[in-house]
Amino acid sequence: MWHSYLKRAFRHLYRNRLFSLINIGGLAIGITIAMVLFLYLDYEQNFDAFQSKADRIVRLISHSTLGDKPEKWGCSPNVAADAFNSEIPSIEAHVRMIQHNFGEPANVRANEKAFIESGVFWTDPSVSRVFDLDFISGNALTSLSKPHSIIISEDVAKKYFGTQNPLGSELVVDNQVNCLVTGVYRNIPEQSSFRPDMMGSISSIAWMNSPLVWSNASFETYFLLQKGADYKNVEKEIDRVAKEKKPAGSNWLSFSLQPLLDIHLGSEDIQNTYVDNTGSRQSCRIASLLVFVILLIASINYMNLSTARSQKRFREVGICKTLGAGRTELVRHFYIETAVMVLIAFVVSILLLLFILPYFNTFAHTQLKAGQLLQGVAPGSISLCLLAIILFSGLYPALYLSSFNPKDLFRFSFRADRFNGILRYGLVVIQFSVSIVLIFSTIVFYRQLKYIESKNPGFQPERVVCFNTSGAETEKQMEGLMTDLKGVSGIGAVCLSQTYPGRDGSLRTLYKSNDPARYKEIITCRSSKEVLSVLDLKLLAGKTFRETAGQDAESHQLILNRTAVDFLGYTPEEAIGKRVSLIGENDEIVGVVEDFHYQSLHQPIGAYAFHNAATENCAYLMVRMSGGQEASTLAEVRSRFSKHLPHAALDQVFLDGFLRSLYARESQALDMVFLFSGLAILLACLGLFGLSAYMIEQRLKEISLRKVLGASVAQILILISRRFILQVLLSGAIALPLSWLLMTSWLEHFAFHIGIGWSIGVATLLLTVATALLTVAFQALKAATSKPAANLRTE
Amino acid sequence: MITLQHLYKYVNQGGSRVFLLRDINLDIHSGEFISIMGPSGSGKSTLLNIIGMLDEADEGSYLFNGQSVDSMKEKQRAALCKEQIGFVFQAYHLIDELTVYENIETPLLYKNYTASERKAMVGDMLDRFHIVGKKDLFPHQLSGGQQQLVGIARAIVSRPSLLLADEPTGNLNSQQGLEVMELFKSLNQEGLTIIQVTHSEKNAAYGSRIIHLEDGRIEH
Repeated sequence: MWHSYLKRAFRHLYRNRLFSLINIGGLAIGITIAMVLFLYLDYEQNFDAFQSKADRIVRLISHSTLGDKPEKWGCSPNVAADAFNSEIPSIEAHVRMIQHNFGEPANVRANEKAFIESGVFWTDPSVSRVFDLDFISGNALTSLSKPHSIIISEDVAKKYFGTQNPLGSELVVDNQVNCLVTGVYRNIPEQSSFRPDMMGSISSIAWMNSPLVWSNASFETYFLLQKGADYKNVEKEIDRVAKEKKPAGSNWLSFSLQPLLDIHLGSEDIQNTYVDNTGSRQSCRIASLLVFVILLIASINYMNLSTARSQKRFREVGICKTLGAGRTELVRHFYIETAVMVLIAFVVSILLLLFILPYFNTFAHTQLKAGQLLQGVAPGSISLCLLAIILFSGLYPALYLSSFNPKDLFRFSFRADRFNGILRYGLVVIQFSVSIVLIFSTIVFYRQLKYIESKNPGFQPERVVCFNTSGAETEKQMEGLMTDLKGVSGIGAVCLSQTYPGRDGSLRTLYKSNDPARYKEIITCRSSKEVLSVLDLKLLAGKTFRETAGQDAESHQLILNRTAVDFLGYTPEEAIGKRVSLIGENDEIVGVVEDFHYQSLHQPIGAYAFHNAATENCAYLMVRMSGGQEASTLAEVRSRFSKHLPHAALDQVFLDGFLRSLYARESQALDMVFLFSGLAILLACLGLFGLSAYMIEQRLKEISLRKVLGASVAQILILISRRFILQVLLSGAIALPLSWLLMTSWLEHFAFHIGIGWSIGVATLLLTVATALLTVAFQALKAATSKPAANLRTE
Repeated sequence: MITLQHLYKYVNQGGSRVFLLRDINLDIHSGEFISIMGPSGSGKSTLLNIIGMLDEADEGSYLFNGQSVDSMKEKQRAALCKEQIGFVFQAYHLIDELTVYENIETPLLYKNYTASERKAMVGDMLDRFHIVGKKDLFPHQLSGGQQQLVGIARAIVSRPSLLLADEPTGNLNSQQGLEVMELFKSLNQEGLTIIQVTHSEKNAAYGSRIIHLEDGRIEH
């Protein structure tokens, strides 16, 4: 019996090769996409799972009510770790981690090799007790017990020491801290929230160890709990101990615990942390939704394609019924057909997956591995999914086709079933709607990105190069370099600066002098006087400051932007010479510049000030090159840099490239949207192709009659196309308002964004209509040019 | 074998009632060869459908071998039909994906015969119809006459007691038609009850009795 079913299923597949190909192709694409998204979800949800003690590790979260709104911080005071560990027996061990320079890149040197590193951490010796660190050389437990020790990752060891054994060698950080390498550990896996490139002993840095206070919060603190301890209970203990030990007036500070396994996806509201590779639960939810939608479309396609050509199948069903087949046998037969097709599609999709995964990884900057599909719950979930697809997709065809009444075999033509016609129409409308939403979103995405890239930032980032100078050993080296650079032709301007556009500056508060109750957040940046020329900022009034300020607080000078000056209540001209309390008590406003985008266009423009007070370091050298010999000028700059700062790493950043990278996430997202839209639309087209074949076949007799009555090919084409255009318009009516809502809420994430006008909706509809028409073109043409006689003959 | 009494079949169109069959009274004995003739629209196919249990009458009674068919449940009726009745169609209606052998075998699959039994029965049919050499061919590789032969073989392979044929020679040329009618005659002589619907006087003459239908009524 089964043998016969299988034989018939395969033969049926082969005889209708075109349809089978389309069906299998559509299903395969759908399944492949689903598997890729599944791998992504698996990757995101298994962060940190490799840690052997993962279920016992928690992070201390500090809650602060200091600012306007309560905040959650990933970092905690340096005193907290031991304070809690010593009083709470459920806590077995603790470790604090602090990134060097609070996240600013550091200049690291070993022998003659120097590089800019951003993964330098200072940590307690207990780090390898809490986290899994696989030591290649050196002792895990004792390597950080002495000050001025440092352990490095495999890759770092290779980078600085090549094949030599690094143990005992010296590593210098920022030309200030000298350390000895006491251990090398294997590279930490990608799926880890905690990925330092090197860790020095925290006892090496004086201010980190004393004083031990509750008022700083710069140390990422992790606890290893005893086996069987419930972190919720430990939280209560922490509450108790904190109340005892915190000084008076610290009610703004409280604590909670976050399990390690929750960090990757559950930290969207947590600030002040060194963990920079968190994902978002929302992305995961969207990915899950996408899997569902795509499989749904693929299934709908299958259902539509299988029930098209029903004329032929009805005949077969009628015959079998007269031969004694019952409904059950027929339903079984069609389900087996579905199962065969889905399983073939599955095999094809595995091959497809293996082929495209590397390209996808490059495209999406991910590290997905196909092998993950064989691990854990994956095989079970996939089998369940396939079963669900078979049951769902097979249901409609099986029930519909097996319902045919054999008595209709005695007729010549079969009346179209109205309900099923409407159902099929509805399914196509759904597919068109999904396509329209995707096309619309893609257009909006693209235009927003182009808008951002082309929007005038208010300054000139082209031909500006920034160098990190934290490797300078003395002031004299910097002075020498600056003087030397002034003599290079091809350089328009040179300055030193604390930061540059796109990076954070210092956050301060600006007070109105006559109304101290009113204040505004302001970002400040210390720089030398040439900063305006380097960035090519427009001065509205006044001039740049003089040479660096002296120690005298009276001599701080400010250049404010328009927003700051508006807040103070002055026009740009009025502001010049006025005094304001910002860096010190009595800073002088010497210049006002037009507002410019000192951050990405995600953020609105607020108050900004350049100043010359010695309160921060200028870590960057910025060079504006005048047109022409940029390559050779750059080479000159580099060689002079190396000459004056022999032990500093040479690291250059092109400002325009850097600014573009701020939108990297959106750019990547755009690529993904293009890709998935394209695929979903392809699926929809496949379905449409099959469906149009059915519809045209049904109307073949009508078309032939019209031809006999005098209709031209063009008129027939219009007749056929009319139906599809109506479907597109109906889908548009449903999908366009939805798309508008979706995209408007997405654009809210940008302080500066495009408006969504009529043109986008019209363009989307036109594109969809064109796609639909193209898909049915071949069939429509064939039908319109067929010979009437062939179709009007009765069987 | 078959007794039809006061059979009516109608459809309601708008407010009025259109009769497909009016007051049909018919007795068919086992071993008869009946030809039903009549112009288009006279209800021949409808009558055949009802006799073949593919459709139900709206009024009247249908006794098959003494059992009342119209009061049977769907399942019982289907079982009876499967057991006793074979169909031959004007358009042959073979399954394109199956070979000649498999086409003939199909009704046996639905009746749970064992593999060896099936082999024997199909072998018999192939022999009888002299189409052994064609058993692995597909329908589209056969001529119209050969396809109809396969259709008839399929209809009788499970040894039904009644054969219903709807214009069996309608799509055949005169030579092929002749062969089919001769075949029917010999089958009938072996004891198979045959009811055929036909347009042709010549074919109708093969039967032992001719029934004329006009406008849903039996004409005498």
